[in-house]
Amino acid sequence: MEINSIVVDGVGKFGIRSEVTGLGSGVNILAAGNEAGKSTLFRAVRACLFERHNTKNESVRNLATDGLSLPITVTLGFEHGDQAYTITKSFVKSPAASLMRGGVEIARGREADEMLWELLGIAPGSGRSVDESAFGILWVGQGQSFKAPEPTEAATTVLNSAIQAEVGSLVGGERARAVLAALKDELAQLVTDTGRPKAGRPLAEATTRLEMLQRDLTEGETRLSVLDGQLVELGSKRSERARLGDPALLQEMTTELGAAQESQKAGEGAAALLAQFESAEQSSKAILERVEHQLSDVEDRRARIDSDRKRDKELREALAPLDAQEQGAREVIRGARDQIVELDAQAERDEELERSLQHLAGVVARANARQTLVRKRDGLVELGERLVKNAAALANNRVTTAVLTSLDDVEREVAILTARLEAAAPEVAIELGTTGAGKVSIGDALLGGNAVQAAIDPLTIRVGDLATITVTPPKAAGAADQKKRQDAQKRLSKLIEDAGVASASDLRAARARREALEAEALGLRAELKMLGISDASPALTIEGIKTEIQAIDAMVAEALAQMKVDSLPSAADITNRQDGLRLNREEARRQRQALDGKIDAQNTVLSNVADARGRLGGTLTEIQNRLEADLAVLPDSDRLSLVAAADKAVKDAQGDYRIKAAALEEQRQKAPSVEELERRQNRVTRLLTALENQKTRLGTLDREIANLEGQIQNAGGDGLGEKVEELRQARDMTEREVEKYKGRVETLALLKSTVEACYTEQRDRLHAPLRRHLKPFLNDVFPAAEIELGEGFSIAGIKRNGPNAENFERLSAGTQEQIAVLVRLAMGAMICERGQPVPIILDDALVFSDDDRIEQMFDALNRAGLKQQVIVLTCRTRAFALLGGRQLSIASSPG
Amino acid sequence: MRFIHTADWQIGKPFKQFGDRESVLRQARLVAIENIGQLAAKEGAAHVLVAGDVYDTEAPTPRTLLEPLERMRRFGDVHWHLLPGNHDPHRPKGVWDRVQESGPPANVHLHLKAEPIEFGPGATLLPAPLTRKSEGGDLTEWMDRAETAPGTIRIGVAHGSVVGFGSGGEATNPIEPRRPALAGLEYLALGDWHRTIQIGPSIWYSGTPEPDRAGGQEAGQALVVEIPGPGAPANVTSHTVGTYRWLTIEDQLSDASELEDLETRLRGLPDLSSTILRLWLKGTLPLTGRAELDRRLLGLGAAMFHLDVDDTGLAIRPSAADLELIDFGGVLRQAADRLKAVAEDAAVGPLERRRAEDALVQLFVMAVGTGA
Repeated sequence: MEINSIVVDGVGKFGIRSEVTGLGSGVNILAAGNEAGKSTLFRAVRACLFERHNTKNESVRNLATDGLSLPITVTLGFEHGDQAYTITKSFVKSPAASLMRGGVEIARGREADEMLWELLGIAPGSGRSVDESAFGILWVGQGQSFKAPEPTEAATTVLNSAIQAEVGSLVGGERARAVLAALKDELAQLVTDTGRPKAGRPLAEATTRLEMLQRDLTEGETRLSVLDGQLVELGSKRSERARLGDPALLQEMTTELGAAQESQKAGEGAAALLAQFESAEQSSKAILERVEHQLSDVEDRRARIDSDRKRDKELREALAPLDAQEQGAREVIRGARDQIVELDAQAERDEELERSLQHLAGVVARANARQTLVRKRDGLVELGERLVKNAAALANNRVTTAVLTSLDDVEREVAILTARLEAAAPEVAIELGTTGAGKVSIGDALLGGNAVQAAIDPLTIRVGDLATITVTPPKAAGAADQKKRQDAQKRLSKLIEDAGVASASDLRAARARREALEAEALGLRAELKMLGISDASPALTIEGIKTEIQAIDAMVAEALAQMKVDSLPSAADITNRQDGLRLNREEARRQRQALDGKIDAQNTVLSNVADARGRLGGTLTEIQNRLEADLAVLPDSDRLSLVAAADKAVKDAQGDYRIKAAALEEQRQKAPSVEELERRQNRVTRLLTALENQKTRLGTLDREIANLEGQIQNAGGDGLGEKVEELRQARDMTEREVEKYKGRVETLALLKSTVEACYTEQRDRLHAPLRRHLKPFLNDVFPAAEIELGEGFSIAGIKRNGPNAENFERLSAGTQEQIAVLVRLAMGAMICERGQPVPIILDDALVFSDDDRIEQMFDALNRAGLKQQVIVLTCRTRAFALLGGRQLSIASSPG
Repeated sequence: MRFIHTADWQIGKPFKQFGDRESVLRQARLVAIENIGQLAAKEGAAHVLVAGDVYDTEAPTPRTLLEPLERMRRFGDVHWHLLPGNHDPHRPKGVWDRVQESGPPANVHLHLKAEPIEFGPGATLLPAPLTRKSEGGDLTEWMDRAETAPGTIRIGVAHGSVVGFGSGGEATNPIEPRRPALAGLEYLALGDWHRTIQIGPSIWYSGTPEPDRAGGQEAGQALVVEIPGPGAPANVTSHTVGTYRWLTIEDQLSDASELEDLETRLRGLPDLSSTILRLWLKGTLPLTGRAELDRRLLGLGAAMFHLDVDDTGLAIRPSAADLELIDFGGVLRQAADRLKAVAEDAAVGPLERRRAEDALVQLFVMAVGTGA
C-alpha cells in the first residue's frame, strides 16, 4: 500500500477542504509548526482506514471542527497491488463511505468499509476499532515512538506469517507456554523465585514442622538419656548401698581394728624403753668424747710451745742485716737527684732561646710578604678607578632594552596608522610638464619630477605663483586613526626626549653604547670575584692591605730594636741556630733517662728490705703472743701433772661407755623397728578411716538414692519414652515429606528449565528473519550492535560493548526511542518483503535524539524508504531539514 | 503341663506413618492380649508366659502402663507371667516398679529376679529378666545351677538373641542355644525375635501377637506348649491371635499389559481390608503404563488397610507412542526427547536420571492430561 493523496474537510482546524500535497514513494516529510494540524491529519487517516463510517467512537467525534456543523470527511488515495484506489468516508454527520478503484466506485457504505479492510489484510472486529495488524506496529502516533513495539495478537500473526515463509512456524509454542505457566504456578506453590521454600506453603510448612519435631525430639531424647543415666546410676547406688550395709562386713572391720590397736600399744611400750637406753648411751658417749678432747688439747699445746721457742730464735737472726742494705740504697738515690736538677735548669734556658728564634722567624716571614701586598694594593686601586668610570657612564646612558622596545612598538603603530590613513586618504598625483620642474611644490618640498602622495593631512600644492591648491581629506574619514597617529607620534617624541637624544637613530646608537658599557661592567665584576672581593667596591680591601703593611713595618722595627741590629738575619741563619738547640735537648733527655733508671733500681731495693722486715716482724710477734698464751695454760712447772690427770679421765669414761652401749644393743633386739611401729599405726588409722568412710558413704548413698528416685519418679511417669518414639516416627515421616516436596521441586524445575531451553532455541530461530532485517537499520545507528528479542517480538536488550546485553528499560529515553523505531522499520521491511508493503508513519518521532544520532536515524529512514513509503510528521522543521525525501504541504481551498 | 508362650507385645508402640488410623493399630495390640486370653481359656492353659518386651518403652504414659494390665485382669483364671525385655528392662524406679506401685491384678506375676518360682503343680519357672537394655553376658547361665525339687518340670524364660542363630533379635543379649540341655530344661521360652520360630527341640521364639513392621511375621501368633511330664519333649502348636497382616510383595514389570495381572493377584489376597502391604516394584514401564499403574494403585490402596509402594526400582522407558502423545515435534517433543536421553544415559548419575524420568512423567501428565 502506498498513500498518494490525503484530503480532509471539517477535520479539526481544517474547517474547509484541505489537501496534503507532494505524497509519493520513499520518504515523505510534513514539517510544520505546532498546532498546524499534523496529528489531526494522522488521526483522520487512521479513522478513514480503520473505523466504520457510521462509528460513534469518541475519538472520531473529536475530529470534528469546533463550531461547525459539518460532516467529517476524509479521502485517501492509495495504490495497492498495482491498482489505484480512493476511499472517502464521512463521519458523524451524514455518514457515508465510498471505495473507488481506477475511478470507478466498487463499494459503498458498510461494504466499502469491509472491502477496504479485506484489501489491507485486516480482520475486522464487530463494532470496535480495527487498528490492528501491521498498521498497529508501523503507524506510530505522537508520543508513542519511544515505546518498544508490542505487537497485538493479530500483528504477531502478520509477523509470524512473514517468518513462516522463511523458517516455518513455532510448533507447539502455545502448548509449551501453557506447560510453562502451569509449572510456574505449581513451583510458586512450593518455592520462591530464588528457590527458597515459600512461606505458608506446603514445603515451608513441612520444613518448619520438621525443625520443630527435630527440636522436640532432641529435647525428648536428651531427657530420656538423662532418665536412662539416672536409672543406671540408681541401680549402681543401690548395689553399692547393699554391699556397704552388710553387718558381717562391719563386724569383721571392727574386730580387725581392735587387734591392730593392741599390737600398736605393745610396740609403743618397747619403743619407749629403747629411747631411755639410747639417751643413757648418748650421754656416756658425750662424756668420753669430751675427756678425749681435753687430753688431746694438753698434748698439742705442749708440742706447740717447744716448736715456737725454736722459731723465735730463727726470726731474730734473719732481721739483723736489713738496716745496712737500706742505708746504701738511699745514698745512691740522693746523688742521682742532684744531677737531674742541673739538667732541668739547662733545658729551661734552651727553651727560652728557642722561643726567641721562632718569633724572629715569624718576623722575617712577614717582612718577606710585604712586597706582594704592595703589588696587590696597587692593582686594586687601578680596578677601583675603572669601576667608578664605568658606573658613571652607565648612569648617563638611560637607553635600556625596554626603552628600545617601546620605541619599536610606537614606530610600528605610527607606521600602521599612517598606512591605514594613506589608504583612506585622497591620493594626489602630480605629473609635471616639460617646464614644470622646480615650479611646483608640495608643502615645503619643491618637486623635480612627478610625485604621488596621499593627503593624510591637508596638503598644500603650490604651482609657482600661479596657484596654491590645498587638498584636505574628509574630516569624518580616518578621524579616529588620525587621532591615534598623533598620540603615537607624541609618545615617540617623548621617548626620544626622555632618552636625551635628538632622534630615533641617536636613541638606537645610545642603546648600542650602553650595551658595551653593560658588558664592561660584567667584566669588572668578574675580576673582583676572581680577587675574592664580593663587594661592589674594592676600597675596603685596599684599606685592609694598607693596614697590614703598616703592621709588618712596625713589627720589623721592634725586632731590630730588640736585637739591636740594622737588619734582620736570614731565614737560613735562624734555622741553623734552631737545629743546634734541638741537638742539645736530645742529649739532656738521654742523661735524664739514665738517672731515672738508677733511682728506680734503688727504690726496688728499699721496697724489698721493707717487705722482708714487715714479714719477719709480724711472724715473730705472732709466735711470741701464742707462746705467752700457751705457757699461761701449761706452765713448764705443772706440765707433767696436768698431762697425767687428763690421761686418767679418758680411761674412766671409756669403761662407762662400754657398759651403756651393751645394754642399748640388748634392748634394740627386743623392741619392734620404727618401720614396724609405723606400719601398725598406719593400719589402725586406715581401719578407723575405713569405718568412718563407710558410715559417711552410707549416709551419702541414702541421700543420693532418695534424690534419684524422686527425679525418676518425676521423669518416668509422663510417658517420656513413648513420646520420644512418637516424635521419632513423626520426624522420620516429615523428613520423607520434605524430601518428597524437594524432589517434586527438583523435578518441576528440571522440566521447566528443559522446556524453557527448547522454547528459547525455537524462538531464537524464529527471530532470525527479523534480526536479519534489523541488522542494516541497526548498523546505520548502532554499528556492530545486536538486539535481543524476547517473548512476542518484544525488545529485551541491546549488546553494544561486550558480550552482556543492556536492559532495554534501563537505556536512555532517546536510545529507547531510536531502537524502537528501528525495530518497527525492520518489521515493516519484513512485511514488505512478503509483498504486503504498509506505509510507515511517524508522528512527531525522534524527539529525544541528539544531532548526531538523528542524522543516523535519517539514514535508516531513507533505507526504509527505498522499499516502502515512510511518512514523517514533525514540528521540528530545522532538525528534520536534513532528512531529505519529499516535502509535503497542506493546501486549503474552499469547496 | 500346658501353657501359652507369647512375647514382644510392645504395648504403646506408635504408628505415625498411618496417620489418623494409628490408634487402630495401637488398639489391635491390646485386642491381641484378649485373643491370647481367649486362646488360653479355649486350650485350658492356666498360665501365659510373656517372654519380654511387654511394653515398647521404659517410660510409657500411665494409660499405656495400665491398659494391658486391665486386659489381663479380665481373664482372672489365667496367670500372666511377665518378664522384662530389652525394650522394658527392670531397673529401680523403672517401668516394672511403676507396675508394682500401680497395684497389678492378682493374676499378673512379675518376674524381676533370676530365682526359681513355682509355675503350677510340679513345675518351676526359671526367669532371666533383663536389668538393662543390653547385656554382654548370657543371663540364662544361672539356670544351670538353679536347684529344684527332683521330678520338677523346669521351664526357662528369657529375652535375647540365641548365639549363632543370627541377628534377628533386636538386642545383643546373648543366649546359649544348648541351655535346655545344660540346665535340664523341658522348655526354654524366648522373646525378641518377631517371628515364630523353633531354635531347637525345646527352644522357641513365639513371635509377636500383632506384627509391627513389614518383612517380619505376616500375622500375629502365640504358642500353646504342652509338656507331658519331667524329661518329656514339649509339644508346641502355633495359633493366630493377631488382626492385621503385614505383607511384602516384590513384582517385576516389563510392560503395561502385566498390570491387569498384578491387580488381580493383589485383589485376590485374603483379608484385604486388614492387610498392610509393602509393594516393591521393579523393572520398566512406558509412560502410558506408568499412568495406568498409578490409577490401579490408587484403587488398590483404597481396598487395603494400607498400601506402601516402593517404585525406586521401577524405571520409565517412554515408547515412541508415548512421545507422540506428547507431540510429534515442536517444543514439548524436543523437551521430552532431551529428558528421555538423560534418563537413559548410563554416564549420568542415578539421581539425575531419576529426576529426568520424573520430569518426563510430569511432562506426559501435563501434556497428555491422563495422569492418575
